[in-house]
Amino acid sequence: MKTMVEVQNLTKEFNGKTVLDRITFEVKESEIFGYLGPNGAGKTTTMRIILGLLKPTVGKTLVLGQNLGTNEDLRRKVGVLLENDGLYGLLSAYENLNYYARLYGVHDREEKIKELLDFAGLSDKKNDKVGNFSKGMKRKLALSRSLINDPAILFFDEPSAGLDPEAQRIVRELILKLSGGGKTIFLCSHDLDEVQRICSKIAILEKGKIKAFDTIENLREKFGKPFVEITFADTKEVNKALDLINSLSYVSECKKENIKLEVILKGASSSLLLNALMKKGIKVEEIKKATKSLEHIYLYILKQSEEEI
Amino acid sequence: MNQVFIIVRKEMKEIINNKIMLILGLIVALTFIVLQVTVISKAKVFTVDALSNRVFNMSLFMGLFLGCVFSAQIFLREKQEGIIETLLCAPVNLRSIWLGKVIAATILTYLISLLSLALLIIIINVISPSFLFPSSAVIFHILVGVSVFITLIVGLIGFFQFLLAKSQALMATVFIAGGLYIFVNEFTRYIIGENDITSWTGVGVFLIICLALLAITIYLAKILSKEKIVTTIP
Repeated sequence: MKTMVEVQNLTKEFNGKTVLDRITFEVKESEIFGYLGPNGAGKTTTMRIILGLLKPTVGKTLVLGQNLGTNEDLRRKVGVLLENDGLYGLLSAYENLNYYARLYGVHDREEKIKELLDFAGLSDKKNDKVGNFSKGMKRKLALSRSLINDPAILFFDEPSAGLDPEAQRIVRELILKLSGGGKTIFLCSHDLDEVQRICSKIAILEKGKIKAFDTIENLREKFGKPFVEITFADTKEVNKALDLINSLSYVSECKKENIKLEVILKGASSSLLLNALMKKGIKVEEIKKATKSLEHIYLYILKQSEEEI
Repeated sequence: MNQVFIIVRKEMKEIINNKIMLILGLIVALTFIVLQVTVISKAKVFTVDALSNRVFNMSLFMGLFLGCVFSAQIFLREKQEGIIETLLCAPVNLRSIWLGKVIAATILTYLISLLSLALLIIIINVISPSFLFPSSAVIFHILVGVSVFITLIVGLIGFFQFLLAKSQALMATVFIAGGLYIFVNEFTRYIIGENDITSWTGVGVFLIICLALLAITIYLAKILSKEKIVTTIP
């Protein structure tokens, strides 16, 4: 598969402070790549360097094999939706799209604008001032704006930030639709649920360093083995069960969470565990198999990196 | 060049859609007209020289004030709202963006200044016992010198608004506006003499100083970088 974005040994310093430290990753064609990290981790700085808005201190970033910072023409193949919508409140939806279409040198302008207004569901509002739009409408229009040049790769920074759940769902569906159409998407996000639902590969950034870079499935395999979640009636039962479970040879790990236990088994079935508990007369309210969510994996990786420090 | 005009068109459309900005421009223009008419009618000196002097001064003040107002709208607002970051990702170079904005602010400022000066001349002729028209040197100054002066103001303010963070940019705007007016006007008077400011020599020296400063501004615009703009977005 073709490499769309390459980040090689990227380091960025601001006034002697290192904000990105030897970052390396790549994004392949048609991937939805999630770039995760807490506030101030360096996500936006990485994106700004890739987009050619900032210069790297060391290392390089390539989009379609070329430097976006020095190649103006390459920008025609890239679409961006940053935290700010990049829309002019005093202009209408049509005028906003028309402005960017002209700047990008779009040939079939009128047709493209009509298609994108339909895509955003804003055809009937095309002559309304964007300043009067709701946040959700602005975001949908901004998403359309990012597609005006029919880009091969899209950079999205928190695309659904501040939107209500329904608008978030619409934005997510639009992103999946774009990916289905062959577009590569680089997505910076805090929303782990959103990333889990739509991204094929992720990188977790913390304090300017990449802590993990893989597919969500591989990260689950590595950091979040399937476990059995057992809920008890009270803490007395939990403590009794904890002593028993820790003594079982087929249990690899057991973690207490209030009146719940999370048990990782060494290949044994959960019914074996349930039988052992019932034999000892421990009352089990609920038992179920579960896998770690991306949120668990994310927090685990961040915690691990804090412990390393 | 095509992209510069795309930016010019969009900036002008935005200002025309901004009623507050237009009303502010109108208030500034009317205030200057009333002040100049009051000064002339109180002095009761209805001569070509007196009119030329008033027109000369008013053209500079108008250019200065309106230039600042429109620059704030065109350069500062886009940066404060963060829209500039998306624009910088488009296939258009930074100098074209700066130039497009400078041209748009200059055209609007110049047009309003020109209309205000025409209105001033009409009002003075209404209250004057005889027909008065500014000297040919001052007409040349209005047509050429004022447009260069406005371009210089807008260009320099735009440069600093791109380069600096909000508070520093606002301080720079005040210093540039005041300093530039004092420097250009006083320096010209110093070279030419107080009474000859509206002569061909005065107008010519004024134009040469403005052109020299404009050349410096255009040169300065080369040091602008996307990184400087992005790192000063609030």
